[in-house]
Amino acid sequence: MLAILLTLLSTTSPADTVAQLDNVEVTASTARTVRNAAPVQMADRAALERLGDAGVSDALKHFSGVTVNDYGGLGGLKTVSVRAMGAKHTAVSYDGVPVTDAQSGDIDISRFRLDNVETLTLSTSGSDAIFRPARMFGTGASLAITSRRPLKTAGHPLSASASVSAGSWGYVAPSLRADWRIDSAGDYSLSASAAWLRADGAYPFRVENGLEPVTGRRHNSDVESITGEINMNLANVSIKGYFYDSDRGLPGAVVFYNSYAAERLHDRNAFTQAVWRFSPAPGLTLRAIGKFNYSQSRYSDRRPSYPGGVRREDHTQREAYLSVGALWKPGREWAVSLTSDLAGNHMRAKAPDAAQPERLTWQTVAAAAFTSERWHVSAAMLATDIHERVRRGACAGPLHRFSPSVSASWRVIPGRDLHLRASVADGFRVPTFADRYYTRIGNAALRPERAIQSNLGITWACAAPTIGLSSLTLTADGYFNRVKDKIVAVPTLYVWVMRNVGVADIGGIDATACAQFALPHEISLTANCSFSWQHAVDVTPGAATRGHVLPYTAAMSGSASLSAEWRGFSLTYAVTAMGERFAAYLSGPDNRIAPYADQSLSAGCTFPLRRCRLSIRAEALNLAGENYQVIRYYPMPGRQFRISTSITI
Amino acid sequence: MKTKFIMALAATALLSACASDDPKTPETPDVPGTSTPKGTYLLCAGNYDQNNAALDFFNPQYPDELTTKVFSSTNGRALGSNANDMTIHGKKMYIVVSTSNTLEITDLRAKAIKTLNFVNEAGQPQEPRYVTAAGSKVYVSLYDGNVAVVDTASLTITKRIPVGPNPEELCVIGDRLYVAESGGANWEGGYNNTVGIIDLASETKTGEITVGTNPNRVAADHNGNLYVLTFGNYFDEPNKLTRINPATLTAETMATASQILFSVGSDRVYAYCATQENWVVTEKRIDTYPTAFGNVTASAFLTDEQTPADVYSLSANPADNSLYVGSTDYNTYGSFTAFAADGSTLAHHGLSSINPQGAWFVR
Repeated sequence: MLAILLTLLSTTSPADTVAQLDNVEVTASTARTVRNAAPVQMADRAALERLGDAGVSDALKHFSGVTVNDYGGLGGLKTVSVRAMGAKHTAVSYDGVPVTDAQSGDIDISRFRLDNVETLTLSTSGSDAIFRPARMFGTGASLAITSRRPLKTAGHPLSASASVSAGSWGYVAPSLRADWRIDSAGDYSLSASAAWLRADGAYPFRVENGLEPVTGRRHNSDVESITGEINMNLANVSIKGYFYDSDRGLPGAVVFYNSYAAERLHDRNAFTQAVWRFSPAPGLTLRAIGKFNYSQSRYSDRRPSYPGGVRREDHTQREAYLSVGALWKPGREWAVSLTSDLAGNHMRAKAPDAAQPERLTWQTVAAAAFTSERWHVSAAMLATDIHERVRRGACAGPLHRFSPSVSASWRVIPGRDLHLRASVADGFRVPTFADRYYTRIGNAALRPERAIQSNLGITWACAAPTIGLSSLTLTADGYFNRVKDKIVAVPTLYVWVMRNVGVADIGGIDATACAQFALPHEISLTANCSFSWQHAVDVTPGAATRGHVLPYTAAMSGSASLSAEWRGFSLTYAVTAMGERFAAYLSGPDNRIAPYADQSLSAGCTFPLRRCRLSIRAEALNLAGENYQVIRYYPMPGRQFRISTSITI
Repeated sequence: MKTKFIMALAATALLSACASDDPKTPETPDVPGTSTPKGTYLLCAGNYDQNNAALDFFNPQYPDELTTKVFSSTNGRALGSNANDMTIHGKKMYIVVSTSNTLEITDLRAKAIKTLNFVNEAGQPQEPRYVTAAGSKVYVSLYDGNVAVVDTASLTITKRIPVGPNPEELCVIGDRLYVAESGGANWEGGYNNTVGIIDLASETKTGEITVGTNPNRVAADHNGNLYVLTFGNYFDEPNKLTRINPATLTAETMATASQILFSVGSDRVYAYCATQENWVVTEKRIDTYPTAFGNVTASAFLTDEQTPADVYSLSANPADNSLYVGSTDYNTYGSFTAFAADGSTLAHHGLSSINPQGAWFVR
């Protein structure tokens, strides 16, 4: 029997869940996927554990409609693009608080280690979750990452775990965690975790070059990072401190006849955030979030043609963020929320003619949701106000924008979980500091990119316990997005310049299926499958690219995983596959990137050892051993192995 | 093993295939009945690191035909990333591929004879940029501040001559080599502003000429004049084309514009001048200038409407003063339009990669 756990996280809004039971922990992953009026995909801790000790990006590759831009390598930069809108249209939140990078607009998700993640939730616009920070609205997609919940061992207030993974190409990743449940009710707790990771990343690769294929080992592909986190839950307040530091080599593309690579990137990020929730009256919840963020990026490249033999780009960013909101649920059917965010970002670069921009963003969202036995309708209106200031050079003017979204889902047959859903949203993404002010390339006059999205879907959840099928969830969504004023780096005769050129039409179908079986002899099987078909076309008026498929958008992609569990043992086979795509606008054989399938196998067991719990996991990734390419000429690692053990007290 | 063989075969077949709108797929340039091909090679740089540089061949006697990807179909391997320049000297061709850090030495049919790499003592790539030839030597400018001397008999690098920062184009006048010392990697320092003079007998730099900011292109005409094109600072200082008398070092400005390209013919200099506002070309034209020092009167060659859009390169054929204008929009493949000396259009073809660097003529 599938035990349903609904986790009343301090960061999940009550409006997210349809059923609420007192004093019972319930996860709503199935309920959310099926009942949400806009597509939502969720992976909980159990699902993440089945996939093994991979990164967040590897877990996301199993979601439908997601493209992970992977520059290869164990330390490679990875960003998430949903429905071909681009990574900058994906908002990321960590435990309910937005994670931003005002300089690049991309969140490199390789920094989130999967063993510290509890859930991953990917929603497109129009999500039912109406009580979220304003910053999570108005974007194409949002990825909510929640950190690992404290492990609750009965009786013992203190629990700790230590784990270590080791794998191919010098991959070593030890981590430690301790949780202290201060009071017996679980309202007060403290947890701390630290993790270190290093890898050589010198994997062998092969790239075709006619009669002289290029083979060798990737070099300058190493990574070393440390992460530390402290969480304090004090009844209504939860406070987090986070630190991340990574130093990695950027191996670059495989350039024929020249294997030199010396780019290095050192990132450092520290933040502290506090979330306070308070219910002064029945049906009324207040929430305040405060965050201070500091990040530093140091890039260097060594080539003899640079003055002094080295080129450096250093910048630091600071952000102060405040979000205040209220959720009012007068009855069982209506919920209304009002949240306002104020964020101040500033960026300092070391270059002598750098603009040193500062930005003040004020966003307010008013949202409402109506839930009845057969309907769920939600609407949100986001108002955005941005003001910028620079120390040098041209400055962007103020930005005022309204971004509405509306979504509805209808339960077709009363009492059954068959829903039809539709949603429409008008979102945008603000030009980043790099888009606007990067030396020589930036363009302060850039307008934001607009993304108008629409979705129509059907979902069905059922169960047939008599044949062992504890749950079956099927979803299928057809969507159409239009992205206007795409911010693109346009090379002119001498330099590249950022411009708003480009209109793209993106249409597609995302389908997912998930089945769970409870078989005799305590065997449970979980099968997951996702499939996307997409057609992303450039429709820029008057451009030579008009009518051409957007680069790096595959018409077909999909993933599947099959997991068997028996007592403490589990065995999982997973595959992600992508069809052919093209590295440039012209879809001829010259630009074609071959389809690939990345298969992995992982096996693990967990068993009690005296008073502790020991778990061991072994996995083989990319079983076919093919150096497939996601981005052209960035070969991915071939077959690799990993083994990890952890002990929990 | 068998799969690898099949794959190699498939790869060669793939590389030999032309663009779908092109009628010819021979393996060598189309030259019926003669041993030395006569015609024009068009070099496309491709993207910076995407290994998609390409060499196409055009024979003006067959203006409707274009033989594409001659290097890769002849040699079974790609030309590399970012082919920047080439020269045809004697019976060989020398192709500079900057990001791949190579000089491909081939015969006149693009069959590779030797590939040279330019690596300094620390093992770092020196990044070759432009090439010129005189006598039994070929000279390659290296972006790390050197000019490499290649002996055409032994096909080895015999010397590296230190010059100013980030040298670009180079040309030979008499017994001297002139190289544009751009300082292009030093935008924070305001670039550089000299043209270096190398004495070819001693193979050392003996002096320099001060010119405008960021000199990139140099060329010589039959009268021994030196032409220098400076790119300015891409911001408020425009491009400038200057003619210098190397003996007296007197200089005269020929043109100033947001964007200038030029090419020297046998009796004229072609110059493309464009005005840009916010990186969009608002006016463009191609003029001719006489090669006599002291006369900077421009004569119209192509008006705004006649000039192709998105001009990226200009190459004049010294044999008949025909002009090959390369165009690119940086996203789709480049193209070229060939004009006769009287301004009439000879041919127009799409090329097999991005960024046409120019045309080189087999005599």
